Amino acid sequence: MPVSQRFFGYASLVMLALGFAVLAILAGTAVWLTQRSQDEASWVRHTIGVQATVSDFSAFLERAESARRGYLLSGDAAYATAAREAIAALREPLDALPRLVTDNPVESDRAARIADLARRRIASIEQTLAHPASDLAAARREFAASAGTSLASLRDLRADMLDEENRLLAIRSAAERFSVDALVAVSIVGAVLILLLGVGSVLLVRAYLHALRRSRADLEALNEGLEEAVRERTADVLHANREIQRFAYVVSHDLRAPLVNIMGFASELGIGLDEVSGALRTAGAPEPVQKIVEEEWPEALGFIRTSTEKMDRLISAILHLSREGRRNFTAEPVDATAVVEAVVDANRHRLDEQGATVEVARLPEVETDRLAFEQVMGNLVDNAVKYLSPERPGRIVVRGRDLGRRVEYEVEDNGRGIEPRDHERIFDLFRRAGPQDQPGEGIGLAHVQTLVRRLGGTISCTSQPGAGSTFRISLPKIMPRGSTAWADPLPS
Amino acid sequence: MGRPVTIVMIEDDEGHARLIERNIRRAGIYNAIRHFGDGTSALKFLFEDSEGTLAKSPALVLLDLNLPDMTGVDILARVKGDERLKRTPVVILTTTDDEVEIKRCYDLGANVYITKPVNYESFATAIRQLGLFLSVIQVPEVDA
Repeated sequence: MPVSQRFFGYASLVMLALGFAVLAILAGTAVWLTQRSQDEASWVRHTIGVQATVSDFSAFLERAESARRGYLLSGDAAYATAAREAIAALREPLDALPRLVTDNPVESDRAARIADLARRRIASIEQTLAHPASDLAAARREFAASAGTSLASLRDLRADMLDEENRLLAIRSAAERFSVDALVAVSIVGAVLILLLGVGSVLLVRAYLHALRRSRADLEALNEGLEEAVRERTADVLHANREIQRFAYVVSHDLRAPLVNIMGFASELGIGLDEVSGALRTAGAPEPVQKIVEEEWPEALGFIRTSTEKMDRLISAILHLSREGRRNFTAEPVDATAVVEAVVDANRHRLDEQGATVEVARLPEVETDRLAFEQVMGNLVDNAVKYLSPERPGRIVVRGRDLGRRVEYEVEDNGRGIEPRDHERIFDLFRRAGPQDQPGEGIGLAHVQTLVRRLGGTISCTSQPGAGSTFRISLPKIMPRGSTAWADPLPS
Repeated sequence: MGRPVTIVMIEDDEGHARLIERNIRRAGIYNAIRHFGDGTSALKFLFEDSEGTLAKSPALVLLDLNLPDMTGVDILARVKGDERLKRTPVVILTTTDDEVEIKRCYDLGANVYITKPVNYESFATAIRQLGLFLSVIQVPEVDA
């Protein structure tokens, strides 16, 4: 059975709650049943106490009666003493009995009657004992008159009372036994329930662990699949990239061939034109015809030539980029500070001309392709120098930061700056920004971006028009080996 | 040159062929020029030579690498791999200026590699210098 995390959460909570509920009910029931059985036991004891009191009372009364008779028969004072002792002992159970049975109206009534009869009997016995042993005749007459009347009913009452108490004892003992049995039963049921819950919990945890193990296995499989997918995609991208490189190469060569013709035949036309214009002049051709041959056609040829030259430069740039894309990059430790200082020295003449200063901070070292890194820094510094503002003394700062696995370099200038809408565009091939007052084809930053990407890095630009620009490149501290995978021998 | 050398020009671009020819003539070279616009007919001429041109005079091959039916490299390999033609000078004259390609051609036995400049002055100068070169070069006979 698959166990979801949510189901496991709910189920384990329910089981725990059930377990606690069963325990609580069990404890409550046990306390209640124990209380009950204690109550019932005390009732049983009470009943036994009543029975004992009745028996004591009866026994003492019988003894007092027997002693009186002995006294009457023998006149012996010892019998009188015994009778008095028995009566004294009789007082306590006699007083206690009505108190003991206040809970039961029938028994209470009987007890009251027994007490009444017993008191009269005691009074009768004490009357007998009041006669001196020398004169017992009067006592015997009194006894004869009263004898047998109340004693029989007293015995009946006593028997009734004992019967009633026996009946109560039976009921109460049964109730007590029931309570004890119930306690045992409830304990057993509770124990079984807790055991079942325990088994259920163990099964649930096992099922959940199983599900967890399986989902972990699924995850591992998925992970491997993902790595495989990434490898495939990377291969696709590299393949696509090679296609583009090849395309750029082929296109640029095929475009060049017609250019050779355009240039060549335009020049041939120019050569022919000189002779034609000379001949026309000698022949005295009309002025408008001479004007066409001497001014308009040479001008047209000039435009054809400059345009073709420009096109050739652009194609050369594409070729150059495609060649950079194919070059094998090799990582080596590069002293970035030394590279930038060399670049600055190469620009020293132009910097001095413009009265600009360059500050190169201590830059973190990097393990990357030296030539590519030199070209990137060279282009960025060259751009910074090229686009300084004539309104203020130029100031260029190159700094870097070590970010652990990556390094970051910044080339900051206080030059003319770049409009925000051009921040992306300047990295496009043949695109330039701002006043077109500097030579260039719009290749530098496109080239830099290509190189930085191949080095496994990124480049970004922040700039404020009229305040300056900052170009920031982030490179892996150690160039990944995959970066060289773009290299591809030339297609034949 | 002992006997007049036949220049075998393998060039698919008619315009280029014309410009090359004009500039060679301007350099004062009047040798016969046989022009072929594709590799197949050029190879047929070089290897079958029904008119016996090659038997009568030594040859020099001007070869463009970008041809419609094969690459110039294939032709170069065939010529330099042939016992009879291998000593025939081959001048590669093409737009391709890739280093790898240049090395490959020299590895296969190319004698000269010239990149066609787009700038016509440079182009004309290059061809004229080639003409001067052709005027002093010693070309061996094609073994019959």
